[in-house]
Amino acid sequence: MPSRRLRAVEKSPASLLVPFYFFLLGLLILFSLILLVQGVTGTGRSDSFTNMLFIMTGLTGLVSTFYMIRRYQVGVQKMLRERKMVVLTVEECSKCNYKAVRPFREGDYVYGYGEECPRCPKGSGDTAVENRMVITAIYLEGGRQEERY
Amino acid sequence: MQTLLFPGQGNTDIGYIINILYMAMFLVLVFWGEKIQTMIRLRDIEYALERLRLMRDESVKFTKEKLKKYGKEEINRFLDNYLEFVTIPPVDMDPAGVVWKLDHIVKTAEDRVRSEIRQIIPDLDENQVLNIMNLFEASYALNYYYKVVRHYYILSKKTSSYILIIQLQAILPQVMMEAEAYLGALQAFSSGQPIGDGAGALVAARLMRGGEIFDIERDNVYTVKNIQGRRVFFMKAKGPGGAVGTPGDALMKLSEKESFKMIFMVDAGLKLEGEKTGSIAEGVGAIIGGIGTEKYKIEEVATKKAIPLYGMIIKMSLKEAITPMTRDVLNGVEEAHQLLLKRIVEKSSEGDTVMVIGVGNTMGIAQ
Repeated sequence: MPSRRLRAVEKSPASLLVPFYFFLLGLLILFSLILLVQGVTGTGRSDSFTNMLFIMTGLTGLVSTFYMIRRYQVGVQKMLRERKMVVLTVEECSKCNYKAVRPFREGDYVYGYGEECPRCPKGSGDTAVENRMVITAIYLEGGRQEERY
Repeated sequence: MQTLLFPGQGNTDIGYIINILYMAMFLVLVFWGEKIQTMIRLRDIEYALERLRLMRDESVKFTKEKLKKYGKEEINRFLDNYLEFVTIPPVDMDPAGVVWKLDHIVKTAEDRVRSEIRQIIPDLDENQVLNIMNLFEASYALNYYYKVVRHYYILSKKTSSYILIIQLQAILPQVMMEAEAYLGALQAFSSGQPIGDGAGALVAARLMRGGEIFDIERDNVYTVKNIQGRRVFFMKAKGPGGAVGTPGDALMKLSEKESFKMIFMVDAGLKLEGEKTGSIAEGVGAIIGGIGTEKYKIEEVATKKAIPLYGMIIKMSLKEAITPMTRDVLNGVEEAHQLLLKRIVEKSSEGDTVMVIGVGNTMGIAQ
């Protein structure tokens, strides 16, 4: 069964989780910098191996922190990109070939009737259908669904 | 104490500590290495499982929210029951006639769901019923993924089977990809937007425009047109509801009266990674997915009457197949439309009767 801790993490509000995550990353950067400075200056130690160990640990800490920040950035960008996806409806007038593109509305379907043609004069017959454009395509704006896994 | 592992460090305090740490790590990895790896892998699976649960819950919540407008509480109960609905496949020890049995069982299951939805919300038209069924199927698929992964996760944890854990972890990216595709499909299913799988149906719909439409068999429509002296039958599932129709049954019925010179089929097909979405692949054979019963019927007709079967696939990923149709797929539809007209003229002669079947889910596509 999924652990209680994981469930709590999933359910906790993002507003608290994100600052906490960045607070931890900040601490990690701070400790890494301290280790790096101590390793470079070699304060109070003549052992070069220890200095090297401090430098390596500091660098590893900094690299991994920046990698985690970059991953977070990519995740947010991906999320925003997905949310921006808009489905569009293309309408065409069969008389004057006027073409219009607008956001999809519930009830739209390909080869169904759309809005009235703004160019054609209103006829005397069945106005409910006569002047209305035909929906010729419905597609996703941006057009790409590819993702990295 | 003289250091053995790292000579040259001298007898410094830090040298002792590092050597003790390395020795401890060595012993831990020798005795508990596999256990640690198992724990790490199980945590990965646990995380994926939790995401699957959230996706399942999100899909059920979304479906219930969408059905709220009908003001029928029973539909929520029906959805909860539907998630555990089982369709038992027929026995295949004696394979003769198993296709017809499977066809019967699948149609019975579909009829039952359709009639129950209609019974609960009598005001729905046929298209709305089909769209609701598609929504239910997305939730069903997500629930199924969650339950199967949970089963193997618990089983591998109980048995501490390292092999089982590795296998489960290996298939997880594919499972998650499919689950995310189903989650992404909810919006399209709920508002009746054309999906990528409808590419074949859209090609047929474009070619059917202006012709007289006839219903045939369950959820199919067809029209007959003259293309450069050829009598061409165009067939697709009846839209704009989310139907896939029964093109096999319809072809069997039409071939009783008509003698087709050739059959063309157009369908959406899963691309391999690296292939371009919307690209066209031509070939021969019954180009149709699903459980295989419709494919069997089409092959039966074609084989018995020696009718050549030609086809075209419009390539796309699984996610593109079940989410709103992309611009690339739409370009593929346009290309397939032109290519199909060209092939009909090339392969047949004047006076021939040709059948064109646009296969796929016709959600959001009328005729």
